[in-house]
Amino acid sequence: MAKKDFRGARRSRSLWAVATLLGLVTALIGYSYEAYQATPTTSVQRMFSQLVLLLMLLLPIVALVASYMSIAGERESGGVKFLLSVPNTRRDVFVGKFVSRLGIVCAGVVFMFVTAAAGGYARNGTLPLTLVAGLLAMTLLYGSVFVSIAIAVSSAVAARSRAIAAAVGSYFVLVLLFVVPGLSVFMIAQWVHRTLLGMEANLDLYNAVTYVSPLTAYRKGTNMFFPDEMEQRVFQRAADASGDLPVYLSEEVSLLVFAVWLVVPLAVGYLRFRGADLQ
Amino acid sequence: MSPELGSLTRRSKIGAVLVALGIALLIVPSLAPVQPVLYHETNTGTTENETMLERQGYTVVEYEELSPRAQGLYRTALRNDGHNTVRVGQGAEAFPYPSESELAEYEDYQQREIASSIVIERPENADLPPADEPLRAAEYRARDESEGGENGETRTTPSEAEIEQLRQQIATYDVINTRTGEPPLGGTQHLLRMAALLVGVVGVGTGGYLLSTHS
Repeated sequence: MAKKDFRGARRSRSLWAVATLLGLVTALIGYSYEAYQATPTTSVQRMFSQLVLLLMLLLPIVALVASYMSIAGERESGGVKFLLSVPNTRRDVFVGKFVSRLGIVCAGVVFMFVTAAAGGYARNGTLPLTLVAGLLAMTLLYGSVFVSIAIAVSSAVAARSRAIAAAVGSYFVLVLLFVVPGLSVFMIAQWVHRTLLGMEANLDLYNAVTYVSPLTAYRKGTNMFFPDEMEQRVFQRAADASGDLPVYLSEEVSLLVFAVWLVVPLAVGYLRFRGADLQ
Repeated sequence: MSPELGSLTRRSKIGAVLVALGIALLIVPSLAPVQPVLYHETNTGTTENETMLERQGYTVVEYEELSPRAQGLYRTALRNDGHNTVRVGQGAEAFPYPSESELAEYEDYQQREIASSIVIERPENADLPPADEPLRAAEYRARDESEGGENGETRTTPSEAEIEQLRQQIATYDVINTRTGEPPLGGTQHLLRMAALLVGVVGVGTGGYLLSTHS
């Protein structure tokens, strides 16, 4: 099932066009990024930190677009009946679609990293392999989360229009709501906690609420691989804050956040698909 | 072999060639890294005299004491809008050529400037292109000096002769900034490598598509 879907998808001209375009962008960033009076290694590290910022916003779109119609499309066209007529169970279809789309997105991510690394190495003559491997692993996890969400969304709806709406909604809720200034989950949590419930301000609590997003987990998780001076400041701290963040806000927790976002949508999506009326 | 099968085989062959070519083009720029160049830039201006410059840590060298090569590099930079770039090995001994990473070790901006500069004392009435020092600053400085006095009490307008004297002093000391660095991103060396990378990406993309439609 996965093999068949993967073969079908990789014949898509638009898919290759998008992959090539993204590869061109990352190769260009990799080669042209120039850190001011920095060592070659620092320059490559900073280039990859810019790449992470780009992928943070771009990768969810790629993963959602590549996957949101995988099952909904089959249901709308009636192809799902054909898929289930041969000895395939609903689980086979669900897992097959997930594995296939995951493969496509991961291949795209690897291609982007290869082109960025080729550009960075050609320009600076050095490549911090541990950093690149770590960032690649985190990016693959981040992409997988959105494939999981898109597959779940796709399996839960039977029409293209609803699948589009759900995919756009996921991007808004899980990505934009965490980056748009003035309308962030942090501020909403703060407003509910202080204004609505009349409690004392608790920055760590609001940070923890923010940490449930895959985007925040990605930003925080990638910090594990950057040198201290290049780490992104993900969480807000009080002006007089001293010492380390609480354990539940540590970088390692990002792996747990990813695990939850990988498993829960898939489980919910599968349960919805298993009980759906496909007639 | 049927015509359709023949066409598919041809497509896959072209695809494989494009992928191989693309991968090679992605690798080639790394095998031939860009060669650094030596920069000579005279746009950094100073209005200070020799004593002040030496106090700040600059090395002041008389133009006549420079080797013919150094003189030539300086003159070319002046003629070329303050910029002159040559290959490594074609510089002059009198000039310091610190690398970007060496300069990055200086936290203080002025220390960084001093480490990568020398001051050339231009001879009077020399047959040199005009200095690109901030000559307009002479008027302001002359006014500052005459208005300042001991306690800021004396207030006289500087004469044209005084201003001209300051102009000559400013034009005498020319800072030349010299360093080793990458050629500019818009230069041929970079553009060739960038083009190779981009063509390589397109090659892999197009070849991959042709291969995948065949299998």
